[in-house]
This record gives sequence, C-alpha cells and structure tokens, in this order.
Amino acid sequence: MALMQIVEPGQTQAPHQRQIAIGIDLGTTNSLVAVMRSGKVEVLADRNENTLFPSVVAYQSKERIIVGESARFNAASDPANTIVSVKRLMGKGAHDIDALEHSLPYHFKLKDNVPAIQTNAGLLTPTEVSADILRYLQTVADARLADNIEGAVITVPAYFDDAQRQATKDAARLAGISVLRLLNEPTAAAVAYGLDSGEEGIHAIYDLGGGTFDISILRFNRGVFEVLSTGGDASLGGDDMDQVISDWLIKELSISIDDNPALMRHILNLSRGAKETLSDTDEVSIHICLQGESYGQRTLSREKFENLIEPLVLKTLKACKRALRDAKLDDEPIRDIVMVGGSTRIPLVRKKVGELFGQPPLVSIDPDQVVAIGAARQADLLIGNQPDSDVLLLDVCPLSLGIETMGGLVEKIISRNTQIPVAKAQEFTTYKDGQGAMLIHVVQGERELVSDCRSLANFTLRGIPPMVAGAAKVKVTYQIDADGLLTVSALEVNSGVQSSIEVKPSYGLSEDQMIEMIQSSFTNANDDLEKRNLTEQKVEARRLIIAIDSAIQADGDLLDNKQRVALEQTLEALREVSQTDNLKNIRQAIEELDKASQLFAAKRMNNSVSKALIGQQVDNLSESTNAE
Amino acid sequence: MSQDHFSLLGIACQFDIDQSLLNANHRRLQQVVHPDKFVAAPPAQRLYAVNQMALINEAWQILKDPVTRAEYLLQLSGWQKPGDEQTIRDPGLLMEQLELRETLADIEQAPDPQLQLDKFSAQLAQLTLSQIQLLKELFEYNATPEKIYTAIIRLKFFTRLKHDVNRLEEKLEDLW
Repeated sequence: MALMQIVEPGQTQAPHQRQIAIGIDLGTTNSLVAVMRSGKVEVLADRNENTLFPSVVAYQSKERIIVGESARFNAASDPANTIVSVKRLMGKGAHDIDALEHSLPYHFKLKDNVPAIQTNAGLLTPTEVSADILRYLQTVADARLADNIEGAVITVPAYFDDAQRQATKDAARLAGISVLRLLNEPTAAAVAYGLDSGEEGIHAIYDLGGGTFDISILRFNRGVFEVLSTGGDASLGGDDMDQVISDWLIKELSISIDDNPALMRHILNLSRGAKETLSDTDEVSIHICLQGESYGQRTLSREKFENLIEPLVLKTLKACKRALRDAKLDDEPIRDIVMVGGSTRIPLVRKKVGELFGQPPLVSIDPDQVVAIGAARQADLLIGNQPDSDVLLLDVCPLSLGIETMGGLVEKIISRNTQIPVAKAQEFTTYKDGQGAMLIHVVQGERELVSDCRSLANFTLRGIPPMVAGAAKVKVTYQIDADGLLTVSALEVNSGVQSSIEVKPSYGLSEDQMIEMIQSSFTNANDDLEKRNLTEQKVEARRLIIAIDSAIQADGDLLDNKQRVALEQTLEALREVSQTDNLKNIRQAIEELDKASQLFAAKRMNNSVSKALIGQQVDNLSESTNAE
Repeated sequence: MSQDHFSLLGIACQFDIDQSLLNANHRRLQQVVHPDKFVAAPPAQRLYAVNQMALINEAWQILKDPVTRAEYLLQLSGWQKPGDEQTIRDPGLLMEQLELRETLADIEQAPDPQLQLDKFSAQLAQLTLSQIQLLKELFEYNATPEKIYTAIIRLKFFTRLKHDVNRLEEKLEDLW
C-alpha cells in the first residue's frame, strides 16, 4: 500500500501542506456544501447562517441572477423566470421537450439540441442553471475557507443515467469547479454514518428527498463499500406530496388556477409548509391568501395527510423490495437503514420503512445534511489528506448498457449492477454483402426493445472493406470510468478500421460549445480567461512535478538508468518552463512529461499488482498449511 | 497485458475455483489499482489505473459466474463456439426445457402460486447445483469440448429460467 501513495507531496515542496476539497450535495430541492477540517466535517453556512440553500435560481435580468433563499421568494411572483428543481431536467433530450413544456411553467426552446429555458437572462440549458447553483455554493465556501479549494466531490442520485451524470460534470466545469469524483448519494450517506462506527454488514439507504427517491443496498466489508443494488424513482419525492396536498386544497376550495401560475406556486408553498408542520403536530390550518385576495381556509389533520401521501409511500416500499431482491442477499440480515432526505422526517415514512425492514431506521444525523457530510469526507480522502486510509468506495453501473441489433432489439453489453470501472467487448458482423459501414446505436435501460430504452448516442463505423455478409468482425467496446461515464469504440478486426465516441449523449455539449460557454460566462463576470488558464496550468504543472518527483523517490529503481535520466530531464524541463508565464510552453511541457511518464506508471502499477497478489498467495499458503 | 484472467486474479486456471480466494484477490487488486487511489496522480497514471481496473473487474465478472467461467476455459483451450447457439441438438434437453417452462407458466394460474413457485424455485436450485457439479467433473476428466459445451447450455438454460422465476415472483408480490 505505502508503495502506491504518490499523492503525498515530495520532500522538495512544503511537506505537510493540507489540501482543501469540498463536498457538494447538489439536490433537487436544496443544495449544501461541506468541508472536512481538523478531522471534523463542517456544513458551511452563508452570511445569514443558513446551510440549506434552495436549488432555485431567479433570472431577473442578465446582470441580476439570484440563487437560494431569496430566489425562492421570486418564484411566486415570477415563476417563468425562477427555475426550481432544475435537477429533474438534467440530461433531458430534444424528444422530452413537449412533455416538459406541458408540465412546467417554463418556456422551452432547443439549444444545441437540448431543451433550454427561455429566461430574462437568455436561453439557458439545465446545465447552465446548475452551474449557477454550483457557483453560488463555491462563493459560500470561498467566504468561509481561507485556502484555495482544490476540488469537489459532487453527489448524484444512484439512479442517474449517463446523460445526467455527464450534464452534472459539465455544470461543474462551467462553474470552474474541478470534480474529484461524482459520488452516489446513498454511498455518501453511508460514508457519513458507516465509516465512523466501522460496523460491517449490509446497509439499506432510504433516500426520499424533494424530487427523487432512491433505495440502495450496500455491503460494507473490510473498509470497502460495495453497492449491491440500487433502485428507486427519479420523479418521486416531497414535491409530489406538496402536489397532492395542493390538489386536495384546490378541489376542496374549488379554486381555479388556470392562467394563474403565481397562485399555483403560492398554494404549493403553503402545502409544503403544512407538510413540514405536520411532522410535529396533529393538525394544521391552511389559509390561502394572495395579493389581498382570500381563496378560503381548510384544516388538514395528520390522518388526512397520511391518507393523501400513503400511495406515494407505498410506491417507495415496492422499490425497496425490488432492490432487496436484486441484491441477492440470501439470508444475510440488513444491519441498519439509513434515512436520507427531508421527507424522511415525516412520521408515516419512518413508520412504514421501519415495518418493512423490521427495525427502526437510523435518524441521528440530520437527514438533509447526511449526504453533504459524506461527500466532504470522501473529498478529503480523495485529495490525499488521509494517506493511510484503506477506504475505497466501489460503485456499480445503475442501468444496463446495450447496443441496437437487427429488428430494433437490444443486446446488453454491460448489465446493470456491474462493478465499475469496467470494459466489455462484443463482436458483431455485417448482414449484407459488401456492407461498408455499420451504425452503432448505444442505448441504456432494462427493456428488450430499443424503443423502450433510452438512446444515448449514435455513431457510424465507416470504411469496412468489401466482404461477404457475416465475414466482417466488428468489435464494439464499452468502457465505463469511475464516475459512471461511458466511452464506446468500434473496431473492424480484419482491417483495423476503427472509430469511437465519448458518450456525450443526445444531450451532448461538444468540447467547442463547452469552451465557448465557459468563455462567455467569463465575459459576463469581467474575468480574464487567459489569466485563469495560466494559473490553472501552473497549478497542474506543480501537481505533476510533485507527483512524479515522489514517484521517482519511491520507485525509481524500476527504471533502468537511461529511462530514469530521460524522465528526470523532462521533469526538469517542466520545472523551468513553469516559472515563466508562457501558457503554450507550459501546456506542451506538461503533455511531454505526462507522455514520458507513461511507461513508469505502467511499471509501478504492475509492480504493486503482483505484490498485492504475492502477499495473498503466501498468506493463503500458510493458512492451508496450518489447516492440514 | 496478455495475461489470462486466472493469472490476472492470482488463482489456478481450472473450473473448480476457490470463490473466496477469487473475491479476496479481487479486493486486494482494487485496493491498489482503483482510480480513486490516483485522483492526484499524473494523468498517465490515472488513465492506466482506469484501464487496469476495468480489465480486472471484467476478468472477475467472467470468473465468478460458472457459465462464463466454463465458456472462457473452453475459449482458452482454443475451442471455437459454434455459430448459432440457439440450435439444441439434444432432444432430451429440449424436452426438459419445454416441460420446465410449462410448469412455470402453469404456476401463475395456480390457486396457490407463491407456494408452487417456492417449490419450483427450490427444484431449480437443486438442478443448477448438480449441473455445476457435473461441469466440475467434466473438466476434471478432460471431457471433449462438445460435451462440456452441451453441459454449459443446460446450465445457461437454468440461469435464464431462474431469471423468469424472479420476474414471476416480482409480479406476484406486486399484486398484494
């Protein structure tokens, strides 16, 4: 283990300088930011001592963009320019636009083939709106932390598909935040609880937030968190409870809300307040009154409230059962149930979940903060502040990934709940004589028909030499990285023709669009992109120098003399050029050093791999000797 | 890396494997290779880690499942899978499949489906277990690849049937 610790700065730099990395819970309803300092996690507050920031952005004009609590006040008076629950829109494609237009108070228009919202600040994609929330969280963190923030762990629902994960990562990039890892929310919650107590066993994470429901079954064993199964519903949560209360009020009081989105928003707000109050009281009186006009008053009892929301709660229990089955636990007991999300404060939810699992759920950490707390712990670990930790969060891919075959059928290439990162290859062939091209259609989902799955990307492998049908061998490889993001490549084996795509799904922003967006956001903020680039590259150069320096100190003997000298020369070249302000040269020197260190990286990895296994085989040998 | 999956995971190249050693070795490798251990490392090392981890995870996935493990062993021995695996030449196997499927289809209409399904499920588990045992013996006594492959097909069928059992179970539970 010690061998691989190349994150500790080498002797050439200040040796014990701690890096600061934050954890961000980018929620549907609320967002939080937390950081770990001197062994403790702190959820960061703004000037008003709030830690829970509504994920609401009000676009009053290009210059006036308001995020958080004050933006929420804007919602009732100007719903069309106040974006709430933007997380629900992440990763949506062009084909979703009609449904969105119908169900939300926003005006949508396609931008770069993505549904974007028409606001006073222009046409904005969900990614851009999320970036504004992230920017806000970053300013909160900057105000509280003296040190430079090196990076962030951002949480996503386990349920998020590839498009949604990519959209989240893009939002962070637009906001200028370097993402250390996207972390599944339930895993983060388990980190917040599980690692401190160190208990081994099966954990169920029940996460009922404002907009999403997730159930995850995790195994914690010898410092490893393993996701056994995930399930849930991407559009079920506290918002739906507000909605059923609103529907009840509207019906009871015969209110007409047609063409009055402000009134609808107001009733939803009152409903949310009533719901929250009913967690502690037996009844609540609701009086609907907007701009001096009264629409009537009703009393909602807890019993009536529970009747209204029971179907929603039962829906979550059904998903729990499915996840338990998927986890294939046999008779292993569930050690505990972690409750996450504001909606788990509702007594009925706690009661029903307790009944299903046969034990009371864990509620000792604030269910609104638990995900952010776990994210902050993980961020601290990943940035290298706990070099002796064995903790490793292993994830699985939440949905199967497949390819379209003849007749609109899906052939699964990576099944759901496969551990990631993973790469899988499968061979396909041509069905016509002389077929020169093959369309690769990448889909995500569990169903057998392409039309029932989500289309992620299309690309064509061209230049297949003429052959009879069935003679070509096209090897299609799907690779998923640690964040759950997919790359697909196709190779015709006989001719070596190949093509690949990073699945920036149907939704996809190209690299150029991304750079353009980053650039334009800087012109707005009167910042200097050139200057920021230079600073970033210098930081990158410094990191690389430290990392390779200490790698050479630790494992330099894996290289022969010539290789070692060559690597050290490239290292020195970067060290020199990084003292200057020449962006182009620095960038080039970084690339050269990275390239020169590839062989070394491979040697170090293979060395530690065989060490890990040799240790195990010796252990095992002695165990079996003892047994005999 | 031209290593085979068995040596990559440090276990003996045979059908009858030590599952717990396989899992333990997989864990150990994850501890040293997982990209999360290289967040602050140079890009070359990060990339190498992702690729290696993907390779190891895939190898583990193949070895831990008896069907894919058996197929992989055949493939290692240089044997080529016949083109269309849909065609089953063994009439006995075909009959057995039809009967089992019919039994399962009848369960849904039975007055006590859950009980029947539990029984069927137990029977299927028994069949699966003895089929794995048979494969173990076939590999041990160096049976012909064709013979082994036929045994794999039967095991595969049981696996698929288990899948349908789970589906029906879900359906029955959804009815409450």
